[in-house]
Amino acid sequence: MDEIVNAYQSSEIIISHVMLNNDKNIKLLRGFEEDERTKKRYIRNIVIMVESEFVTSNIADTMLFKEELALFNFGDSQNKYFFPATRNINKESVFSLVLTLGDGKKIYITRSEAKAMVGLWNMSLQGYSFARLLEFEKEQTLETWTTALESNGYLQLDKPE
Amino acid sequence: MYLIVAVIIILFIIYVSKYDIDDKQEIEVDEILEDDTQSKKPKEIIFKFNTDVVRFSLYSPHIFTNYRAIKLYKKVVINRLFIDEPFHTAFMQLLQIYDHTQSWLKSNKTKEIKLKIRNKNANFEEGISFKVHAVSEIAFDFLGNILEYFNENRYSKEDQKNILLVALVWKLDCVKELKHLCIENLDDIELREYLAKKILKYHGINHDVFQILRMLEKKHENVQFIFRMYDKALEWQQEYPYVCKGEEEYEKFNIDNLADKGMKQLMGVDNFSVY
Repeated sequence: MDEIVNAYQSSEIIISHVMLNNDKNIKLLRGFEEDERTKKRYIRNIVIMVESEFVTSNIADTMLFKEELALFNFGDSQNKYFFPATRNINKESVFSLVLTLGDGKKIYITRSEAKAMVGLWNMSLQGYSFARLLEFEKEQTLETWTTALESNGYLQLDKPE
Repeated sequence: MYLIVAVIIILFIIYVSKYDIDDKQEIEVDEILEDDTQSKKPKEIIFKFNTDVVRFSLYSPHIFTNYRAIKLYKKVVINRLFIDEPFHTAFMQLLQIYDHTQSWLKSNKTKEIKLKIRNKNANFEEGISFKVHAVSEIAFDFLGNILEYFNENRYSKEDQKNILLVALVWKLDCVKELKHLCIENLDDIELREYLAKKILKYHGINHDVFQILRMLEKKHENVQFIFRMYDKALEWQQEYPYVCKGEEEYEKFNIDNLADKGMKQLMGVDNFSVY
């Protein structure tokens, strides 16, 4: 775990995503850095992307996002991402969390979806080293993210997802 | 007795004949030797070729920064000998604009991703990342395609020159360094005409160039190949990742600083033969 990996030695970041929710297009983007000698993968960053927009901006925000989902029933207006909302569907009042995107689009999340997303979150990060996670947070810029997204084909229009 | 006389005669004849041959041979050898010694040296014929480098009055290749611009300048001005004014200077100025520009065009095959991250000081940084083409590369490819088209199809020299100028003027609205020149709110067509009149200042107002430019704006069928060549240039264009952080400031490009007739020098083709 404590092996020293030069930050600038392998600047190429491999991005892969986990679909937390297919219908609402919520992805967990994981940026990896691979040590070529030991073939070990270090997680460099975790970010939530909804449709084509970054919702969270670093690891602390992403953890908050997950906790707000996990504490579905206890959320209130102090939340940062998800706000509780009641809707009427088929003359039945339904409780759900609502996430507002930058262009004003609202995404509603039900209780079971929230639980499934938290379960997937736990599965998707098993077995990886978190040793380098908090370091990249300081180094990240818009340019590093753009080059990483481009080299992994996320800016390509016809990429099968 | 007769036999002896006959043998003697025969021997004598042989002797005499031998003597003769030797004598002759000696003479021949002597003659040959004499000929060798006396033979005159052949006249050296010297053909005087004109080996001086042919020099034209050209613009220095050091004006350009991009090697592709130099290549195109060589292809058009030197290989085709389009060195007459006012085409030469106008073409040079247009090439210089495209050589200098750093503006980009958004690719057709790109997705936009809105980025929102925290930097070292935990402040938000926002941007939109997508893929772009470099305008200069598009313009150089476009021009190369048109030159190839001219190789396959016959056009008169004057037409070739006018079409080359028009093709370059037509894409000037992509060059964002020139946007500050349009003070009033002009649309693309008006902007192109305005810039064309500024850059092609040595061409008269009634010159064919402006007529072809108007034909291009109306998508006349005789100039349809220009659109085809442009699409061809876009098709295999290199894509670069790019982050757009709101409105960007461009270096303002001054048209008056472009190369002018006074900067021409007498230069040989060697100066452009690096590539």
